[in-house]
Amino acid sequence: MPMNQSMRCLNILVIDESLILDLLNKSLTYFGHSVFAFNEVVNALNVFEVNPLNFDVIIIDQKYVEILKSLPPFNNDADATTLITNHFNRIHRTPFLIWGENIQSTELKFSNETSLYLLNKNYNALKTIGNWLSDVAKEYPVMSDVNKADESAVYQLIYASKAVDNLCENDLIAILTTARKFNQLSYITGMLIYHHGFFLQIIEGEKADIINLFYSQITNDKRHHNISVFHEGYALKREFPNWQMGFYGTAGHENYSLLAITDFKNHPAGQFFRRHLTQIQKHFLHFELDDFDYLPCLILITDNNGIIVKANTELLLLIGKERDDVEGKSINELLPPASRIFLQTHVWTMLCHQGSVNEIHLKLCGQDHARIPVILNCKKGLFEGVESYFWTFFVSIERDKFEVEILESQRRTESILKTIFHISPNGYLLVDDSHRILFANDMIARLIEHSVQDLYALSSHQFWSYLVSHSQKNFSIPQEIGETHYIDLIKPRLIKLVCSMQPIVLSNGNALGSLFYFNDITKEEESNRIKSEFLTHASHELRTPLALIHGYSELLDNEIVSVESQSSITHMIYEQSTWLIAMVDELLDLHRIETRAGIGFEKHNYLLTDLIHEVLAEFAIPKGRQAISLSLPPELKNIELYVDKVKFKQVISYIIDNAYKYSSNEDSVSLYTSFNTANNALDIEISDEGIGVAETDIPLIFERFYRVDKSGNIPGMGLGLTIAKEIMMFLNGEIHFNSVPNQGSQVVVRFYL
Amino acid sequence: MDIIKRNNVCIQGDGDAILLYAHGFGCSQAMWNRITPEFNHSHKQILFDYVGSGQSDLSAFNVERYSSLNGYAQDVIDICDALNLQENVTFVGHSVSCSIGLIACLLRPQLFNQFILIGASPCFINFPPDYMGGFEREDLVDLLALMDQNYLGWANYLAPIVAGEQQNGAISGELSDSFCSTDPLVAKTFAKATFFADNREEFARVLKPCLILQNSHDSLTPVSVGEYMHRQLKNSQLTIFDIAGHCAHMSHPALVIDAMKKNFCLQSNTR
Repeated sequence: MPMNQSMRCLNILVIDESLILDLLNKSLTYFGHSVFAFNEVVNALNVFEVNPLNFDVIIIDQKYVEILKSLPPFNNDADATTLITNHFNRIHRTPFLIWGENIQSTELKFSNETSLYLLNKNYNALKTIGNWLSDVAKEYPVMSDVNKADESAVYQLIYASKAVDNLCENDLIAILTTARKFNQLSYITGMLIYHHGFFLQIIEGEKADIINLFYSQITNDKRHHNISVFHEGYALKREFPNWQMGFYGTAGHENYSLLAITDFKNHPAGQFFRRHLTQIQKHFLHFELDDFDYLPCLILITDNNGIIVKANTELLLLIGKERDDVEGKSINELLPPASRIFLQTHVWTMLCHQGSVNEIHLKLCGQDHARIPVILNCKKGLFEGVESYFWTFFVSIERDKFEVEILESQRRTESILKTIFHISPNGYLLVDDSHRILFANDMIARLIEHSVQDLYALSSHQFWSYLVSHSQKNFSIPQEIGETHYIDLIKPRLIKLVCSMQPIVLSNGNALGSLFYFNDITKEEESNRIKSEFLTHASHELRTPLALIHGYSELLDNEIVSVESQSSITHMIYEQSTWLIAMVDELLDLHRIETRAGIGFEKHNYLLTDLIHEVLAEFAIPKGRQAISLSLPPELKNIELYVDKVKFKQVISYIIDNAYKYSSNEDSVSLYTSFNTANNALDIEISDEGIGVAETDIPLIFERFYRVDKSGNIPGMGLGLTIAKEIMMFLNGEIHFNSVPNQGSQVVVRFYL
Repeated sequence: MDIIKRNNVCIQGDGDAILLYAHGFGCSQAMWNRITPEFNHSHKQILFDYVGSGQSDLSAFNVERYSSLNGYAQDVIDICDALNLQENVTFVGHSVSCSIGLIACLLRPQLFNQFILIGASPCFINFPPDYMGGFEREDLVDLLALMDQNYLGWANYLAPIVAGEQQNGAISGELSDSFCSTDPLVAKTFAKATFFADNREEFARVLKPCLILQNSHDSLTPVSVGEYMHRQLKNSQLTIFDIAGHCAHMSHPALVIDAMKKNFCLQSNTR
């Protein structure tokens, strides 16, 4: 009776105490410490990650953790539990649970995130697993008692859910020959054929035509025969509930083995097999457990030159090569170029130097040019009396993906942070306890006129003494959170900084260093100064005419003014209020331009010559001053500007007005026009020979309320150039200012044509 | 700057003749410890780590300088200057250090009298049909990714063990000097400088005596590369060891010592 093919077994990996002890023994024998046992389990689990067809759940005897903790390199370290837990959580996406004292307990001791996630998502799955586990728990003592031959049972289980694609005829014949032999034994009631741990088929004994059944199953439907996981007899028992079975041993050809099954309870042969198991294995069934073949990882043994002496079957299967193609060849031939280089430059040098390597990421050449990510552990040792290297590879596809993800996200975070720090107007400097500069952004480097690269070569002492030597007065370095200090740099330019400090503490409580934060408040300070200047100014400017208006109107009100004087007083009030209105208009104008962003400008094409003449005609030259000296070359006369005429005139007259205001009676004011073919722009340059502006003030000239005249003798609110600059932004142009104190200023108004 | 400290310069042995040993990519001066005892009585032996490798001063590392082999050659010259060496230095280099030594020779010819080149390659990249360095560009990009991954792995996996188990000498000792450079930036910079370099023309300009020690099965530098170098270096001898691997001085020190001794004899006879 073949298995019911529609039924899918629940696949469970049980890692029980015997497996753990076995792994540990092997690990301690080969490698000297239990990390490898840990790795073996970890990587055995790796094999089954993600693919839901593999395992539904993994159960680990909690004793495993206890045993691991008692062995080197953990030595009872409390961190061992954390390390193991983290490892499973991090790496394994297969749900797994650590179950109580042993499998019979139903108390859940530990579960990883994935299992909780899946269980939450699918309550039915939980129920199924729960039911199944209680079945298992009932049967477990019986089975473990019966089946001493199962040293490899868990290995078989580990392998069991992999697909088998390649069965060649010779293998089959060998298997079938063995099967025939078995079939002649009267006590065999069934057989299981498996391929390196993969159960291929159940052959029912006695009356069934084993060979035909098996052969037809395999050949008819090679890819789809029902390969399921059996742990000891559990799954079989579910299929054949009336049987009481035992497995007696394996036999067969290289990769293929056969398990004979008998009806334990009712057949005397069962008793016989139990009693003579060892002899059966040894003499009759020719069963030899090859450790290397059964290890759930890829094993290679090479000589000192890297020539492969032995490879286990698992490795051959994975890379899809025959034994003869591998043994006797160099290990290099299994590796793609990059891994070959890494092997030569890092791994061999380490092996020569210290005799072992741990946890090295490499890639193996798989079938069809596939690159299989693996983790390598290698140790020098004796194999058959010869000094050799034991290479253990664990397939790490999932872990590899995971780590590539980590690297990617690390890079992503780095580049985001880098950009943020790069564009930040503030400076950041990270210094560790030994005064090393761990991080500095561009702004810091600019501050001290170094490249960021050169900055890293400095100690923090050197950095601070540089700052001190370039600042106006000494300052102290912030030592505590909340402490802020002002630094007034005089070089490379005048900068006012606020410096504060924040320690950076890692999640483990260790301090990484101190982060110094430099906030450039030069502009802020300047704008505060300008604002308060404006208040003084504006109140003065507004108050003067208001006071006059107020005074004169009081006179009128008291009717103590002669009729003749009344008209002149009224005129005075009119003039002063006109002046007030003009000032308020200026303020409103600026506000309007800014908020409306040029909307409402009425732009048309105008001849340059017309525009200039109109401005000059309307501009009232101050009393006693010379007229503007104009230079308008004939070839420019026909140039047209696409502008709002009113705004254009406003800009030019502001500038001309300033030129007169800030120069004395004998100074001349001139207006030149020129055309620059390189940038296709027309420049209108207005210059005076007046008091000019100090170099340090030039950057402030377009700031609102900034006044060149600090005395208040020259009327104005410091808005003209600000408005002019705003307007030019919306007229497809720009405005430049240049000046030499006591020689004069030049303003260039540039229109891009 | 203290060059001796920066490059962890160690001097051993007595003798007038000077041997300067330069390690390859991925290791440190520790790789010479099977060779140096043999020459302690005959030579003054100078060992060092490139900035970024071994026990060198990491803070002296500068990506710009060490992005090209010239930066490493400058390390070699700096060391000779710091030790006040003017001439007669025999340069023993492994792998990329052979190129570095020859570059240093072009910069300061009077400094060196001869070169012992172990596993040298002027260029690891294939330029068919004229030159086959052994690797394609993509392979080297893969290498950088692999390095990233290993450095990440070491940081994550080794840290808890190292931190948690310092009393366990066997393991922590092994880990502490397991890799000569665990700083990814340093290692990647060195890797790029090493594997993307093409110094074929520089090799052709060197006229000093060179002994090329080539392994018959070296997966990094095939015999054809050794033969190519022999043709390029006008005054060279080629010795091929019938062994596998890239680090003859570590895996088969006796062969290397023997070849060096024979060469020194030959040199002193011809002088």
